[in-house]
Amino acid sequence: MQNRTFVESFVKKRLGLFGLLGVLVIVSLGLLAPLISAYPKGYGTEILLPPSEKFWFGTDGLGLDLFAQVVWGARTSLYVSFVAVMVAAVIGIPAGLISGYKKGLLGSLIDGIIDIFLTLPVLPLMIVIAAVVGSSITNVAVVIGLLAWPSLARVTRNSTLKVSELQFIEAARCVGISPRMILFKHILLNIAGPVLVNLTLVMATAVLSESGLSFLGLGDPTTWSWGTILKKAWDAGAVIDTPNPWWWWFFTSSFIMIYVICFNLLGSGINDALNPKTRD
Amino acid sequence: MANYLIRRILKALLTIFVSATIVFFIIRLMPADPVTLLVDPKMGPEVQQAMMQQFGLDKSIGLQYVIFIQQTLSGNLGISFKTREPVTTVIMQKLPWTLLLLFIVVTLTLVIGIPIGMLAAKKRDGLFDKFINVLIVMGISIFIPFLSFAFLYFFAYYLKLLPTGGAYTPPPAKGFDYILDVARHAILPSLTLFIGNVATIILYTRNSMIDVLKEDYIRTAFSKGWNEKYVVRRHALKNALIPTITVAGIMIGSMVGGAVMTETVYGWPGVGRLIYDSVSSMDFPVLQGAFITLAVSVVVMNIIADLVVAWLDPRIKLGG
Amino acid sequence: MPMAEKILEVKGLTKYFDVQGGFLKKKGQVRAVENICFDLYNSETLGIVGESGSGKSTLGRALLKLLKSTSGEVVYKGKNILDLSDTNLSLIRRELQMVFQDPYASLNPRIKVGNTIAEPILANKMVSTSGQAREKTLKLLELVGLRPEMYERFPHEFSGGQRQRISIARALALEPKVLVCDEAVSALDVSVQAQILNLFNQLKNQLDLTYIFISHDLAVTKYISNRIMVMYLGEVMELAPTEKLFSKTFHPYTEALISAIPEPSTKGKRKRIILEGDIPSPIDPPSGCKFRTRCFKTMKKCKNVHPEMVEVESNHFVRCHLYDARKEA
Repeated sequence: MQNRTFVESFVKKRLGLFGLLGVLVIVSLGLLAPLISAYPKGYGTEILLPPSEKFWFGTDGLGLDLFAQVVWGARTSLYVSFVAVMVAAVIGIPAGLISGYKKGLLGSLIDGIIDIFLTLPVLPLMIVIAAVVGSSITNVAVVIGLLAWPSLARVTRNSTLKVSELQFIEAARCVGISPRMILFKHILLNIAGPVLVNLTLVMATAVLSESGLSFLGLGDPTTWSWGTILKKAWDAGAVIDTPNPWWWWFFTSSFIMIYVICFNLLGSGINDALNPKTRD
Repeated sequence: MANYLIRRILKALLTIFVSATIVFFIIRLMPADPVTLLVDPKMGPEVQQAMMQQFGLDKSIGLQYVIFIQQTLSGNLGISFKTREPVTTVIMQKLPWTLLLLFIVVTLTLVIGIPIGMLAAKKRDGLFDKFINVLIVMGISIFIPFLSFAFLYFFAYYLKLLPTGGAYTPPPAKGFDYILDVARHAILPSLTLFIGNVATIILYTRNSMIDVLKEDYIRTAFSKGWNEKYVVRRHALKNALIPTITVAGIMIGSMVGGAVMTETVYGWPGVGRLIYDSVSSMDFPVLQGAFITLAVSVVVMNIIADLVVAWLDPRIKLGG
Repeated sequence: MPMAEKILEVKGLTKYFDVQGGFLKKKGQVRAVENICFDLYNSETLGIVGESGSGKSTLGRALLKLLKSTSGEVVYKGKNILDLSDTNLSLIRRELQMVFQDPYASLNPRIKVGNTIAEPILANKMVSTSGQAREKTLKLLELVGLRPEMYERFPHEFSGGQRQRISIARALALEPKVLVCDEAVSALDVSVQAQILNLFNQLKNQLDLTYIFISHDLAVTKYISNRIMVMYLGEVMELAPTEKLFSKTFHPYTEALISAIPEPSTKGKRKRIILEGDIPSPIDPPSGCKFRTRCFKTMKKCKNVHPEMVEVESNHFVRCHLYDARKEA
């Protein structure tokens, strides 16, 4: 079975497995946030306490538990990445499929649009859009997705170009399968690997973008997100002031890095397992 | 070659045009009133009226678009809410600082990233290569503010070696002292942005070098008994560089994004910090102008990268 | 052979491909198939032979409108199918199907074999429920000599011959009248080739099929065909009933092809004719007769005048200046 060899070779690559485990831990943190800790709100009396048994990650300038903030922030980050991936997939996959399969004017047009979007400075554009549309967490997620689709479309297009040359596509046309079924079933099934890899990369960059936007003050101030925590720490001077509450930014930042590294490792693990050259 | 250049410039103009158009429609089509986004309600009624007319904000959206493109092309991007200066003036004060930062980072990235990538390719699957691969995954996962915080904490707060922010110590010194002072301030922002970007360059140099070393003509050269160093430098490097430089061009876009966060954390007085400040003060004309300026810079640097590729790649010259 | 009614008429079918001009090259056209005319009769097997690059596969695809033709007509049931819009086409194309060359590339590796066959049945609304489609698929599997439990398997679990049976079942799912077999056995081992050829013959009798059998292998074509059409550089060189083509060969190219068939040594008196050089580029074919650059009977006239098709004997057509006299007669 092809599927079994995929799983086997994925398990053999320890880094990919490590990524998968990390992803699972973060996903469960986010999903189970309400069970793990109370939603941090209001004020506390225990201000700027370093990490201790009671407050694993210490407390912030308002006396709120930073561990709770990180856990609830994971929920936001997962929500944002998920929505962004959905938006990017809904636009990017059909755009890539169509531009790879229809080689005429429509194909080159979509390809040109992908090209232009790939050269644009994406974060500044996100900033402009987020500043105008207002900073609800869903708005931010949609904006990230709207600007993440070109790389997904490019990967989809390149794989589609290769697959649509194969004889079984001609055979499907011959027996009267509709173009829509050919694109979304016959071709998509065969390019699922690279598309999946790119989706995990979009998950990773979406969190970087969301944290960046929140850090720059474009996040949703009413929701805990990792970027918002960092913004509060930065605004309070937690990095260079004396005495220095380093725990305010250190744990949150580490979680952003771990999240992104895990998704990147998962992506490259899948990629290696799919690629016959590196399989063994 | 001339043909290629013309096509390339047309594409660049199209990219700039698309960026400007996106910004135009986002500001116009959102529920928020574009007049309040582009004309400060605190300005006097006459000034408001003049601005409305200049940008045709009382006219139909089609006409507004034509006026907007005309004004943008002539370099008129409106008036800053905050400083009441023309947006172009505000941006032109900041742009040199961003370009300086980007210049340092691009140079460092290429000068250090390419040799590391080549070395990793030559010792493929060796210990060094594996180590580099781990670094690459870390590198592409870097969150710029985190790195900046860590650097500031360590070098500025803990060791007190380097300044905590800004581009120079006010009041600015004169002559060589000024340059030295700026250099000291530039170390951390450049290092941050460098680490955030060098991984991609190493990755692409490594992979394309591995591909090139497998090519027939390289193997022929080796089998002729040519010196390895000579073969790699003379034949392989040039071909391996083509994808690397192409990627470097594309990377500029994301590098500029990283620059916004870097400049914000280190208080580097460039366009990125300007974007952050205009978000906080809701200074939309400056925000819009800053984005268009960045888009233009990215496109120009892309053209430069493509010209270098064309110079390296004989096929493009012949194909004309 | 008693001449049955025409099922397909091909008139002046032409397919040119545009090629991009590179450095020092003009933009050109590959003249893959040029002015092909023939009739296909009900229940016959028409073999099409030629070297690679002769345009025979392009012809097969142009017939089924898998490629857009440059000009010409393919008349089926009184209608030129090349003119039909896609919606009208689907009804007719159902009846014209194809079995592809490469059994390893012609089946989608990610789709179960049964679904590969059932999908076109449902897509063309041959039945109304998926249960009926499944039933029909199981019958088709049996028809081509596969077991019903193979429905749930993926293509990579099958051998080349089995895969080709699956391809045939998929084509038969639409109950076609005409089946174009494009090098359908070329990729298989000789012993498997024989099995599949026998399957073709058996299906033909069972289902009253008409075949167009495209192959570069004249021996295989001889075995299965009633008539044979010889192609060279996109043109028909000779078209005749199989026995006539072998007993009374007219065209020098056909002679060369026949002489190249390996024979049992007891009969081995025939001298092998070796054609010199390679097949010329279809971008820039020779003037006059396209075969003249490799012909061992070439004359002055061949360089300047393009030969026409001549019916040298009843049902035996040849394109060669050697037989010009017969046309005038």
